[in-house]
Amino acid sequence: MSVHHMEITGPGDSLITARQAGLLACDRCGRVHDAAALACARCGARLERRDGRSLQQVWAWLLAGIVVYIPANIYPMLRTSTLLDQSESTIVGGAIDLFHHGAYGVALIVFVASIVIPIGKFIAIGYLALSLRRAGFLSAHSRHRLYEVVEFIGRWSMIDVFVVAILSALVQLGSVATINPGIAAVSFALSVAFTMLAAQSFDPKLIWDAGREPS
Amino acid sequence: MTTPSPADPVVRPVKGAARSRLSVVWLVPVLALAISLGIAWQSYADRGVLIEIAFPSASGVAADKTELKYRDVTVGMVEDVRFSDDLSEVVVAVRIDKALAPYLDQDAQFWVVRPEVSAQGISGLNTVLSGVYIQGQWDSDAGAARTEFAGLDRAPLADPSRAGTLIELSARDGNSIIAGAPILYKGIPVGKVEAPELTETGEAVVIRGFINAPHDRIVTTNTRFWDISGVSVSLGPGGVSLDFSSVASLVQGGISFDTLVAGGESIEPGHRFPLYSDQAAARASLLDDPTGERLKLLAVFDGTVGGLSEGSVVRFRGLPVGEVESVAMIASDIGARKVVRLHATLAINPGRLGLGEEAGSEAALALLTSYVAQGLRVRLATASILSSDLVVDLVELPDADAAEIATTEGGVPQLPTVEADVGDLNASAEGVFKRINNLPVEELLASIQGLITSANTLLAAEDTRDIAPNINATMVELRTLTPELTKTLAETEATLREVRLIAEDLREAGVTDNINNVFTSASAAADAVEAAAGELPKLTTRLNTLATRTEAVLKAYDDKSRLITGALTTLRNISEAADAMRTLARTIQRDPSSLVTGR
Repeated sequence: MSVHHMEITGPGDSLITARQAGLLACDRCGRVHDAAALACARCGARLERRDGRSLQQVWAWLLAGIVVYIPANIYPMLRTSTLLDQSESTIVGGAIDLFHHGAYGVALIVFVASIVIPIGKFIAIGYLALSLRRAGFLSAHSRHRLYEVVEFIGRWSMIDVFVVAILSALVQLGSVATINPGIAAVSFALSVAFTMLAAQSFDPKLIWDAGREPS
Repeated sequence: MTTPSPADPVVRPVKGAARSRLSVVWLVPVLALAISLGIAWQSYADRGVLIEIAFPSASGVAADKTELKYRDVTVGMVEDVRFSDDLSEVVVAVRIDKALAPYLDQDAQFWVVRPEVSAQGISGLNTVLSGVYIQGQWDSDAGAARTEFAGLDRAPLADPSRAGTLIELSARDGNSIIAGAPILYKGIPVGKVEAPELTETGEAVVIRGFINAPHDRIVTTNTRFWDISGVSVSLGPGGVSLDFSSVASLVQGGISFDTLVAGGESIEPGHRFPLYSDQAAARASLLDDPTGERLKLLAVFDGTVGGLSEGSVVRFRGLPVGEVESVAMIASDIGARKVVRLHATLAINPGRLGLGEEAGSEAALALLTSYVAQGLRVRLATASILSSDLVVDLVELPDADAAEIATTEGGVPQLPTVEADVGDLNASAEGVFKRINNLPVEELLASIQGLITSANTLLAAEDTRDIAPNINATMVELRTLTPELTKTLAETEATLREVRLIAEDLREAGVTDNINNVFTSASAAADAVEAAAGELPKLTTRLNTLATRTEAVLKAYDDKSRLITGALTTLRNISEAADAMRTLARTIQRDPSSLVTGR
């Protein structure tokens, strides 16, 4: 039997977390256990504790995402064969082509969805993971918000993959015109998936733990 | 008192608690990296070989657009188009399929395919829409691979993957042949030629040709090629005849060939054949083995050899056995005098002398030596009655003075010559004309004219009427003879006019086929002359009789009266006419055809 003191001393820094109080909540049913408990006494779920492996997973997924993002940009995304011509275009090349053809809006969407968002995600997740060790210039609140944005926006990167998938399915007119996905389409889809997993692996509670490690 | 306390948590050790601190998720980036590197390595390994092709110009060739095709299959892509260092050429860098790289050796050829409209049709039409492409061809033997090539201006003639034989034709000029002209065999196209090229020395033109298999088997060392380009128009007895082989050969020219003598050896690729100007020349050359040995002989002529030139025929018993190789003037001393003589070098084909194909020049020389001992001599003769060209005849004159083949300073055997029996005009049409003119017709006509005039004068004279009746008979005969003579005169004149016309014809006809017709009509004319001449002896006899009788009558009147003088003139005229007629009749009757042929 043990007694836990719960002092609520007001908002801000005076708050202590359950972790600081030596408690562990079940992720499934919410019952609070002693920090030493391994499984929930009510629902039997395993009790997860933050043990740094979460951060490992973030780094692993992020690295995988970055690795597959490289071929996604080097290899062609689309193979377009028409009666007269056969062309292959990469992600950047496609955006530039669209820009040259005057489709500025579409070019911007493609550029943002395929270049800005993925790279922004890499930077954001990397920053969040790094900032756990060394406090960054953003407050914990801002970092939490950043995490929310990253998690929300990640799926929209798939827009390019959808375009390729739909075009490949629709434009199959034999020798007149054919569009086939290239290696980059698969790589890009994997990259987006990996970064989404990285974002999911990131436990936002870690943000709050940082700098508040029980001393 | 017991206070309810939470149940003690059931503490179970976590399964696999002893696992490492490393998350399994780390496998994902490792795997991703491995796959990415794998893809990268594969695409690097599969990457084609970069070759460079230099073209004089590369119109239409664009990087990443223009393809390299081999047998119409895309095997490469142009990666870069740039200039050579000295800006003289366009260097096209092509990434070519790795599997094909080993075959790109010495014999690989590249050219740009563009749309082309030619007499034989339109080619490369597909490139109008798709843009130009580079076509490559090479054989299926992997050799020492190269990466730098020189591009061709146009599609090469021979596709190494196609069976056939490459030949070379040497021609005097390349006027009529343009690239792509067909090679025909019995009217069927079996090959093509490239554009004629000058030889390095510029002396001749070489046309490279390719004959497709299996027709190349027809070609042997005995094959003769001739030019069938353009149109030949001939004007003959059958009217105008227009002759051309095909529309394509009309525009592009064309070459035909035939192997007329069996037994030739099969040829190596690149064998060089002479290109003859027409089929007749090709056939005429058939007996010549161009590579065969020739016997060189020297013949020295004193007289003029106008009409003798390089290539003039050397005949033996009427058949060509060689040709004149050169004609030169050489001064030599005869005693104190310098004399210029004409040296003709004759090239005799030993095979033509009946010594067999293998016969060398020594065998031919031995044969000629024995012939010379029997009287063989060199003599100039006219080639035909219509031209003044001369030929060299090897004639056999058993009565000739003994002579032998002399050896000259240059080591060339010298054949003995005899004086040409050819007058300058002996056998020409001009000669016929002249001979006809030389006939004593004019004299005959003049004398008959004179006879008639004097006879008429005589008959009209007053004195004559007083002549004794026994003269009357003579007078009557003279009177009947006069119209007859007039008629003969007219006939002879008509015949001669005909002969003259024929002679004119002969002169104008030139070298045509209707020479036979001329000969036919000439001998018909000769027959007419002969028939007319047949009348002449009868007339002559009558004239003689008349002369005798007149003489007898006149003797009775031994008087120098005017009548007698007139009668005597008449008498002399009668004799002259009779003589002239006799001469003409003899000349014509002896050999009517000599009038035309001169022989």
